Amino acid sequence: MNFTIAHLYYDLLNLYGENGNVKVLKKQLEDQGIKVTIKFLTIDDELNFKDYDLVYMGMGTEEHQALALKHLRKYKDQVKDMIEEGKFFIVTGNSIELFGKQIITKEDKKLRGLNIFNYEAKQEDFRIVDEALFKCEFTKKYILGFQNQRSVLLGNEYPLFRVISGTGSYPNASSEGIHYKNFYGTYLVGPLLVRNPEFTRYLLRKMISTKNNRFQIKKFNFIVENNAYNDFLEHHYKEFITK
Amino acid sequence: MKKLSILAGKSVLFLGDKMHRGSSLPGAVALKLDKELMKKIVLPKKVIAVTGSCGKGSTSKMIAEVYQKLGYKVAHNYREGNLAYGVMTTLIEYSNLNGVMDADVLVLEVDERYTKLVFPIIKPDVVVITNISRDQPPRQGHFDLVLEDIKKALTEDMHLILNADDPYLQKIVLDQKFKQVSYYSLEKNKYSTKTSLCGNLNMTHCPKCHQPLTYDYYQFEAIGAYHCSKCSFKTPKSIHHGTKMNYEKRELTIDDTYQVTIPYDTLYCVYNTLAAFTTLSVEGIDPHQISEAISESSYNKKNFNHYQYKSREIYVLNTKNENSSTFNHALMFLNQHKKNLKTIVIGWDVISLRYAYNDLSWLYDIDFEVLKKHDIDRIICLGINRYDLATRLKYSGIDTKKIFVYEDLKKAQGSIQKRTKGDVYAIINFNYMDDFNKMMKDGEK
Repeated sequence: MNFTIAHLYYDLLNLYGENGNVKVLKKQLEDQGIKVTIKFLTIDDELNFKDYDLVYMGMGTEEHQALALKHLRKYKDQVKDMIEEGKFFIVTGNSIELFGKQIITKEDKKLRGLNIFNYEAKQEDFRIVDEALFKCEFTKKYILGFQNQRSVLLGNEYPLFRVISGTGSYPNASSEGIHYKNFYGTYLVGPLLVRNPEFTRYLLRKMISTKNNRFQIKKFNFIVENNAYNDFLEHHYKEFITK
Repeated sequence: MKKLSILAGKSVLFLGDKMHRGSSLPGAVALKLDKELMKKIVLPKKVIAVTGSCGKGSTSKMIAEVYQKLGYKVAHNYREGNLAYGVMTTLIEYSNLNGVMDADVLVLEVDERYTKLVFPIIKPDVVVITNISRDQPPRQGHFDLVLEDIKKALTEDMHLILNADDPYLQKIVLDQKFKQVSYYSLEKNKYSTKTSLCGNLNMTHCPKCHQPLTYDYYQFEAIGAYHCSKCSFKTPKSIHHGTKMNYEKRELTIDDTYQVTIPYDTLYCVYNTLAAFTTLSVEGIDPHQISEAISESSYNKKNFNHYQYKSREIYVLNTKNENSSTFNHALMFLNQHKKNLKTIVIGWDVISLRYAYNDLSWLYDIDFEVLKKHDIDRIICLGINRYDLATRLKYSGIDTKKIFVYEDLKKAQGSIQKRTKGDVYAIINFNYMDDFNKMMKDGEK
């Protein structure tokens, strides 16, 4: 089996070590005997979404985010069709804002989004910087993450996570992220998939079986990742594990 | 009130020295008594400020030391307090009770986020900005926000000293005018590469027209010789060039003429030295005198140690957590020693002393992938994030059988000293430095 990951705007949207997410997917798929190709694509490239099994996008500065948005707008219809058809999108950090109606900048400029989802993002005078402990429907395990963003997301109809501890889409929100068909989006930055092996295992199984439902999936090796996960919970969220 | 505040500050300074807490408390006390005190101090004629993400401490220290050696009276925040209180402490320390500083020149290291508070008061004539890199994401947000803050502090009448090889610093001068901008650069050498050895760069596209940047060569991260593939944006002309580098002898040749012995053989030390040299040179100091004085500079053991342990070479490289550039510099240092068998020790006991956040994103901005090119015996991961480190190393393609984890330095001692082979490269946080060096020294007995 071959699997193609498009790492979109890899050189512009890489603010908080998001390449870790691509690294974990590649290695784990390869350990299953799958041939993985990563296409590193940016604003100088032509995109063809039909060629990719998974699209990944990470977090960028406000300037880089605007450059990426300008480029991605050219593919608006293609992106919309692909999401409707069930193409896998994993989108982290402020990249999720590109898929909404608009981004209202700090200078009160309105940047037109791809208008695939109904939400809009608003850049604030404050930053949301916070540890996150979330829950989702795909695993019983907590989701560990970190938020570091200038904007809030308002009007989201398809949340991905429930906030257990932390901030969410805006201060005191009860949810965070976007889940629609195979589109998974979240403000959680950095190596989210490395830090949450159970969530990643779920995504990997789904990606593989969507491509070939007769593929024999071997046991995944997440030993060190689980040690890191358990250690972190033990050190920082003790009250949540004893419950 | 001024006299009283200065006196109070000086008293606390005296007591603080006894208690080893001298860097910010005296300034804090004095400012509490008189909020406007900083404005009331009569500063020396010449004020030089050094700011940036990395290297501002070492660079400012080097500038201050050269002035001192040449007989100038120098005021410098050698206690390392570089926020507003720390700066105030320095001003008090060198002032008489009338608030007049007894110095010919003030050399200040200023935290990059505090420049906008400090610069309007101390009005530096010369400002060195070493770099703006990925640093403390929970505190800084990202590099563009640091840039915004520094730009707020800069005024037209300042003379800037910048690294020409760093395209990101060009964002400072694109839309702002200055009295003068003087650049330094390092020419291509045997350690330069065709592609960057680092992955997540702060700049890959032209800041003017957003077309891709093309490089003749890279020195480190996005630093190198660049030009835009479409417009006229390119590496600006430098007034001083590092023309030859010999790491083995710790020798840097500047402008093919001046021989400088650098404090230690790392690339960041070369750039810090070029920054200090250029600053002193634009201030009219004779370059021969600068070279001589820098070469006699005291060895700063805070950042780098090299010694032998049972006929193994030990290199101790101090890194700052949440600052991937310091780790990348440490990893690039390994490239100077290509053939030896290596043991890597890496870790920390706490991510940040400043705040309680445990952000791990920066681990993936560090290019551990370069370790694959070396002959590695073991990698010892230490401390609170030892499994996060081991995971990061796994995803850089390193054989997991070579990765070992230990809760702390003490538990790893036997392994490091008895079971590992080859030269040791300890890439560790400052609060492990002393313990590590002591452990190796005691083990030698």
